[in-house]
Amino acid sequence: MFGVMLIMLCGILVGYLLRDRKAIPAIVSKTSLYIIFLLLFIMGLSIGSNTQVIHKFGELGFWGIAIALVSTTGSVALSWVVYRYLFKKAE
Amino acid sequence: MKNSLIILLCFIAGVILSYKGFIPQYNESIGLYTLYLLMFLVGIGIGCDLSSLSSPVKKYRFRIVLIPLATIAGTIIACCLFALFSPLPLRETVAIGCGFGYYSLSAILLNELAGADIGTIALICNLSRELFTLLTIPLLARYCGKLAPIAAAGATSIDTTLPLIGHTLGEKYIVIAIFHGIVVDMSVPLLITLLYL
Repeated sequence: MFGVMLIMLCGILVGYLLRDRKAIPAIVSKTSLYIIFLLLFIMGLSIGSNTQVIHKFGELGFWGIAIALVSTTGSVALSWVVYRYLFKKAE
Repeated sequence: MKNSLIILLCFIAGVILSYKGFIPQYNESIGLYTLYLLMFLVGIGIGCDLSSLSSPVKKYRFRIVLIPLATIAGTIIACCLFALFSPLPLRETVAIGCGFGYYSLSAILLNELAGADIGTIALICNLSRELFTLLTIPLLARYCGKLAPIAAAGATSIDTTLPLIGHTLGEKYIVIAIFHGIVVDMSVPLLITLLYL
């Protein structure tokens, strides 16, 4: 995570120096999207070559996906409460 | 919607190509460098408009702390409830959920602490959480409140999902997502280690 934050800080510095060029935010936003596509492709490569995951997916995959759905729902539900009672008023 | 579909297709294409052996030598560092490139771009976007960093902090103050706490508590409560109805033990279920999408770290930790099967479930679970979030960010923002995409993203709200969160919710949510990501990220090793004391 610290590597990620250091790189982001370098980006912020570069962005600040280039802040007068109005075209940059749109270019950055578009390029980021393509990089996310690439990142997910690479993530797929990593899973496809992980024999442990591929061979056991039939047996363990259901539980992994179930816990992911359940925990995401739990977080979203509580965040809705926080948003509804603490943030929406300030909007 | 179109972007979500492309994201899913990219992931599936990667799995198939690598499983079938079309791409023989996969190197873990490629993913890391791609992530670094993404974070550099996110940084440039923030640097162009620095006011997006400070204005939400001034506006919401201490309430920002409640967002990562809600994410963490929501996941733990949901996992406890789920454990009542599943054959998996309570501690393992909570530990797997406490990866918050940080699949690399949680899978490695649980591999050591709870064995290979739990480690594999943790990998599948946290990867799925990241994938679900990437696919549903626009829907969550629309129907579950503006904080929902950040909460769903868990630890990934500071990296992979950050550009889409900023794109969907607007620049001023980026600093909330970064703060949220830092707190949830750090809670992953802390909570998992505490569960296995």
